[in-house]
This record gives sequence, C-alpha cells and structure tokens, in this order.
Amino acid sequence: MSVQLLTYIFVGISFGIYLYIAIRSRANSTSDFYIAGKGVHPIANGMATAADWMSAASFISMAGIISFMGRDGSVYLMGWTGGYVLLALLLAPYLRKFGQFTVPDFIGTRYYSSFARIVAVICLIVVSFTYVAGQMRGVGIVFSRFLEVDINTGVLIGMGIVFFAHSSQLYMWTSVPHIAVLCILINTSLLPTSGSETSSNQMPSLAWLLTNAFMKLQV
Amino acid sequence: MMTEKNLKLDQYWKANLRLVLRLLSVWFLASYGCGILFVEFLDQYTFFGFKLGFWFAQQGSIYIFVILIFVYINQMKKLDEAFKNQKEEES
Repeated sequence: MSVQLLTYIFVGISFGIYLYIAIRSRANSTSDFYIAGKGVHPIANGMATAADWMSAASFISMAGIISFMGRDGSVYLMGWTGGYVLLALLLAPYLRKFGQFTVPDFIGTRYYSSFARIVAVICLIVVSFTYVAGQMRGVGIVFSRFLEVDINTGVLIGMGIVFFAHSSQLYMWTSVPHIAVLCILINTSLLPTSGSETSSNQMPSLAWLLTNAFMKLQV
Repeated sequence: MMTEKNLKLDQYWKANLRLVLRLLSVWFLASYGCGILFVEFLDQYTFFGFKLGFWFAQQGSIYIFVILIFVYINQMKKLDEAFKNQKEEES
C-alpha cells in the first residue's frame, strides 16, 4: 500500500469522524455556539482551550521558528504560553462573572456605550485577521502536503472545513479527538529530533532521555 | 456613609489584587527572569542533561504557568467562599 493511499485513508477517516460529530451536534442558539449549550464538562472545555493552542501555528510555525532561530526562538514559546496565564488571571474570571461571552459584549455593557463596543469589534477583527492569516497559510501547507495539491487549493479546502466546523458546534465537541490526534502527532513527529538542543519537543528532557536510552540499547 | 458591604467588597478586591500580583511576579521571574535575564548564570548548571537556563526557557516556564493557573483557581475559590460566608453571616 502506497504512502499516498494511506494518507488518503487516514485523512478521510479523521475528517469523517469530525464531520459526523459536527452533524450530530449542530448549534441552534447563540449560547450553543459559544459555550456548546453549557453541557460541556470542564475537562472537555479545558481540552478545547488546549486544542486551540495546538493549532497550525504552533504545530508548524513554532517548531519552524525554533529550528531556524535556535534558542532565541524560545521567547515565542514563553510569550505564547505565558499569555494563557494572563488570560486566566486577568480576563477570563471577570468575563465569566459578568456573564458575557465576548470581549466586545463585555466592553459595551460595562461602559454603557455602543461606540466602545464598535471599537472593540474593530480591534477584534484586526487581531483575528492577523491570527487567521497565519493559521490558514499553515492549513494550506498541511493540505498541500497531504493531498498533493497547490497551497492555494489547500487554503480553499481548509477554509471550507473551518467554515463548516464553525457554523456547527464542531469546535467544542471535536476537541477530544482533536487533542488526542495532536498529542500523538506532535510527540511522535518530534521524538526522533529531540536529541539536539535546539529541538522543539514538548517534553524535551523526557524524550531526550528515551532516545538516548534507545540509542544505547541499539549499540 | 461607607457601608459595611462596600468595605467587604473593598477587602475582597484587595485580596484578589494581591493574589494576582504575587502570581504574576512568579510568572515574570520564571519566564523573563530565568528564561532570558539570568539565563547565562543558570546555564552553569545542568538539569536532566540540559543547561538549566535553556530548560527554563523551553519547558520549566510552561510547567510553572500551568501550576500558576491551578493555584489561582484554588485560591480564588477559597476567597469567594470566605466572602460568601461573611455575607451570609450578616444577613
């Protein structure tokens, strides 16, 4: 069986699972869309947040920037993950206590002003666009390798899937299979390279010990 | 008139700020401090076969971030409960 056929089978199966979950759990209301109808276990919710971290940008670009810049690239690693601490300590608890889903909603309600809300929405669109541009490029690269198409075609396929995913509840409910797939992918793909100091493995010291022991066994 | 309730709210808010400031100083020390500022000093030592400063930048700071979030959640839970009990005793 050729590598190409195996790729099609694996990509096809995982997309099939995602689409099945998406169709089974479509969002019908605003609160369904944002917080999956409040019926999500906190651990699954945390997984969704973690899966958000393990996106195309961290899977491809973070590994890339650390391998190109070497040790200096770790400032991105710390900045990115450190941002989650700021989010958890300074933003999320107040949004939750306020009972609003989004930052523009919070700002609009807190300052009694729809002008402030519009400013927040514009900021949000600029920030999201910057973020999505990087992510979509990453998706395009992944699909172009998987399906052996052009990067532009890959971006279009990715756009279609993301649109479908976000117009249903997919984002929340697929976090469990998503995170499992990503954990396996990230760790298996980086394990062999973790012998060097500049590798970007999630568990460098452990993986380094393992590969070292493995190499000694072989010798 | 400064009511009792406002005073309590003020105390709650100050305790909240103290907690966040303490945690953020650890956050700063672990990432910016150990990962960037004192990295040359820490590199003298090794940890699991890695230079310690490098380990902090790549992995140690992230462990500390996760611990910080858990500490924050637990402490806030305690603070919320203490504050709630106080309010119930008054009414």
